[in-house]
Amino acid sequence: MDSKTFIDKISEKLQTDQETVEELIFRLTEVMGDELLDANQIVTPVLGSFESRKRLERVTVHPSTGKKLLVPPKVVVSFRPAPSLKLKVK
Amino acid sequence: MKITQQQLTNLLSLNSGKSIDLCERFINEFFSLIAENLGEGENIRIKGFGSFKIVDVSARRSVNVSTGKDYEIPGHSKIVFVPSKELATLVNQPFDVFEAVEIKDSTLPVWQSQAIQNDETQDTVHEIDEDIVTGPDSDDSIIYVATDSEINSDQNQSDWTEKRNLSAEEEEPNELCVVCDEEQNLDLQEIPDDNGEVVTDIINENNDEIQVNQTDDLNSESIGSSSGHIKDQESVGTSDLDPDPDPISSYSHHHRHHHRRRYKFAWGFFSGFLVCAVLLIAGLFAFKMYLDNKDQLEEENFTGSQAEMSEQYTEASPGASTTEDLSVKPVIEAETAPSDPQPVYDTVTTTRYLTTLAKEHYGNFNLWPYIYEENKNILGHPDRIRPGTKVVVPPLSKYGVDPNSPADIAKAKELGVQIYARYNKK
Repeated sequence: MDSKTFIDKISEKLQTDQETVEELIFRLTEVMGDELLDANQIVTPVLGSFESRKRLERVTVHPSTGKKLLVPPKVVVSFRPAPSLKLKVK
Repeated sequence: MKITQQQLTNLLSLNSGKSIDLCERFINEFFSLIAENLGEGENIRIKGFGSFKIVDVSARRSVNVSTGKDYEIPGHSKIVFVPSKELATLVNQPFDVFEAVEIKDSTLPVWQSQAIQNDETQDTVHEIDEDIVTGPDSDDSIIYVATDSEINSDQNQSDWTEKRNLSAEEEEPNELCVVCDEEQNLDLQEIPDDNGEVVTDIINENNDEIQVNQTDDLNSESIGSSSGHIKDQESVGTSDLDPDPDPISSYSHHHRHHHRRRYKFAWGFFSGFLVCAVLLIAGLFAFKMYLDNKDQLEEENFTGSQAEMSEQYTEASPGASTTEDLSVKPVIEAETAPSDPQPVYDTVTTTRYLTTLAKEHYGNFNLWPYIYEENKNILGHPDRIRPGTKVVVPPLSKYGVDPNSPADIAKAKELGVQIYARYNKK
């Protein structure tokens, strides 16, 4: 599903205009991002859980130049689907 | 800490300013719609948030961890979430400042060579970044592993991320070091040294005290210093045990050090604040004491001078007729009216309000209006009396008020309301 169709569907269901939905999506990402920054885990019964994970620094090779690189550690968002959803998709 | 959907609703409502009802419906619909779509096998992309994809995983051989037996994990589909750039940068804030850096000399430990080459490789780093960023798959996560030429295929990437998940879980010490930065490595090196020094110091002290103690014990036990010594030795002894297992403790120290770093600042701030508060309170007390002393002195002077004045008057009029006496008396009374036979003064300070004075002198704080009325020529708004204002505390008999009668107390409360009304009308 496209981003636009997604927004359309939500605005239809909620009976609000698309701008509001867009804004809400933006705010939601902000709120979730903040919580993940605090190393909290966001749990949704229907969809699954989001948490932040730290990727440790590591040495890799640059694809084209072949030079060795030191990649710094970073924090990423990791998603785990809910069991019900996992079953559906299997 | 787990955040539920309900909490998310509240936070969203706070952040966006929209009604809780709308936020709740939105969040419900948001997640349900994604789940629905994925359930139907459709990928979904939400601009600004991220994309959810269904990825097919081929069958692979694996080992049963408990039996050690070989078995096959069948091919299946799994759901992958790739956060958008906005969300990713937001979450990666603590590490945003770092960039990938080229390593030239592979023999040196990586962090040392990095320090040397940081300046030199500025240009090359930019080049590399550009290459990586503008690569074909830049929408997804940044390419790291490059040996496989099929890096662009989703399957490899997702498999690889799965692997990374597992190995990261193994490698990570049980906590998520979100605040940790590069200095983490340095700390690990530093801590054992610190511990070592501390341990040797304590051991030296310990030895000295043991020698001293043995002679003291023989002499007497009642000497305070020796018992103090014993106590010291004991406390030192127990702390000696702590830093003993060095290599293990350095790791756990790192843990605690970690957590402490997180809270160190806040704790330092809090303790500093406490110290300041204590000093402030001590200062206020001292000030109050000073004022009280000053009051007492002034009171004595005043009563002294009053006594003198009344004496003079009475002396002046011994020979006067009764009528004169009468005329003189009122004068005396008028003179001494401002300060009744037993003048009672008190001062309003930042800790002693009219109500406090009323409670002290009358036994009930509701009777403060009478103190106010007595001094209303020098007092303004009853809530805004300058600290240090000296007020006369009149005896209740002057206003005919009995502190024990509830009716009088009610009257006093009314009077208080009136006084406020005078000012609030303005």
